[in-house]
Amino acid sequence: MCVAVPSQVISVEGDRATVECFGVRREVSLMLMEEAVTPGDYLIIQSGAFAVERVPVEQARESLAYFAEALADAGDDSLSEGDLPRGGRRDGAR
Amino acid sequence: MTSSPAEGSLHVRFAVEQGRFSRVSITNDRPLRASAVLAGRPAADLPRLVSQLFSVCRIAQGVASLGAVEQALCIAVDPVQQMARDALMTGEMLIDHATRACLDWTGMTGQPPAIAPLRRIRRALADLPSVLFPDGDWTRPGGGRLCPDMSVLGPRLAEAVEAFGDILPADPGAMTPPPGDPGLAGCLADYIRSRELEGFGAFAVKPMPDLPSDRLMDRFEQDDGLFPERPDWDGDHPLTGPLARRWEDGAVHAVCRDHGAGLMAHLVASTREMADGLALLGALPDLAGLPPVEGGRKDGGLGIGVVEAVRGRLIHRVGIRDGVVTHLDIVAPTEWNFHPQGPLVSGLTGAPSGADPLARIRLLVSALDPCVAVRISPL
Repeated sequence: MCVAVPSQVISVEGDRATVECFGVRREVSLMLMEEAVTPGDYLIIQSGAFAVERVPVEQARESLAYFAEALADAGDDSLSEGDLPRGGRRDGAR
Repeated sequence: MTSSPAEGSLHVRFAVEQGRFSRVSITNDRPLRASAVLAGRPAADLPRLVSQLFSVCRIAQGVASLGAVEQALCIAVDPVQQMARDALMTGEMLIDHATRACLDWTGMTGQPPAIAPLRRIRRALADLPSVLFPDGDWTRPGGGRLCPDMSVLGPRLAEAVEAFGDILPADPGAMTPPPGDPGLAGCLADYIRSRELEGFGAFAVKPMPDLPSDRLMDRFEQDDGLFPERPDWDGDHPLTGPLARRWEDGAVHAVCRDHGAGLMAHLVASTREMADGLALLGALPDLAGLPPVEGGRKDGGLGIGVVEAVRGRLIHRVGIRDGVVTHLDIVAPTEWNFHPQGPLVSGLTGAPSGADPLARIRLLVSALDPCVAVRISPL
């Protein structure tokens, strides 16, 4: 499905950043970002390697909780509790 | 293209015999059931959540979800609200085309990414939702508070038009980018011509037909619910996306007549769509409309929402009971174009593989769906 999962910034060096999402780290370009990026921010990554948008922390956590649930439903055992962000369990009923 | 585990990817595998692609297979580990986690949420909140989670085409996803929820709850939306949603989708379509041109087309033709025009286009169009809906409530079923700031919109559109000058043919009347045109579309056209790939990927294509809601509703009930994963229509595997939408366009028709519905036809369809999208936003009328509709005539039912995202037809089906979502199914354009018997497989099978088969496959994948993460390897 056409999802873009928020990735958390681990480090920033010039116009590049290392981001992490569900345990996968990757290096992305910040050249399309209009605003400053700092470690801890959540970014949407497009075309595999370009950050395009900063996501508010609460919104990112809400999204990550949904994706964690979707992965768990799909039987992805690679996801552990520790992969979820703090406060990342969603409280909605199913 | 790297993806996170939650985003998934397609895996295209191929075999070459006697200089042609003899076998092509696709496996798909995209999270096609991810929408199931939205069951149990308030229906009024669904379009916002869908737009937030399925954010590769967030506007199109939100509008498709709005359509489904509003149909299920019998909410009649003011046509001006619908016009505003169309404008938002056009803005998103322009950004997506520009992203593809500035990042993907440049990579294919050996140029560095065209960051400057893409930043200008994003700056001009990315926050169109908040320009038209200052309260940020465009995902509200029944419509949001539509109050466009025309003093902001005009200069933004002028900026976008100027930045698209780096992508589109210098002669706006050109049916196809002429040889030597300096725009990014022209560079890709020259690349395609120099390798005689104008017809690469062409097959006996059928463009996506109209899909009536009642027949879609039936279709969802068939195949043990496999429609979202492997969609077909009356047994056909139609093409969806810019080329299918521009099937009757004179320029596209001329290219298809000369070369078939291959790479050049995809390119011309995309450039025509960009030019027309800019014209549409430039001619946007005053969008001050009626106040948003409050509530629906029902608190439950089934609804279908169908929109054209940049990559093609996007379908949502939602079930609602007592104002709560019972299920949501999404059929994305990717699953049509990358169906195991669909346009990518049909276009590649039997086509000349050339000296660099991977590069050729990447060209066609990008023409069909530039946003999807794809791994390519020999069988």
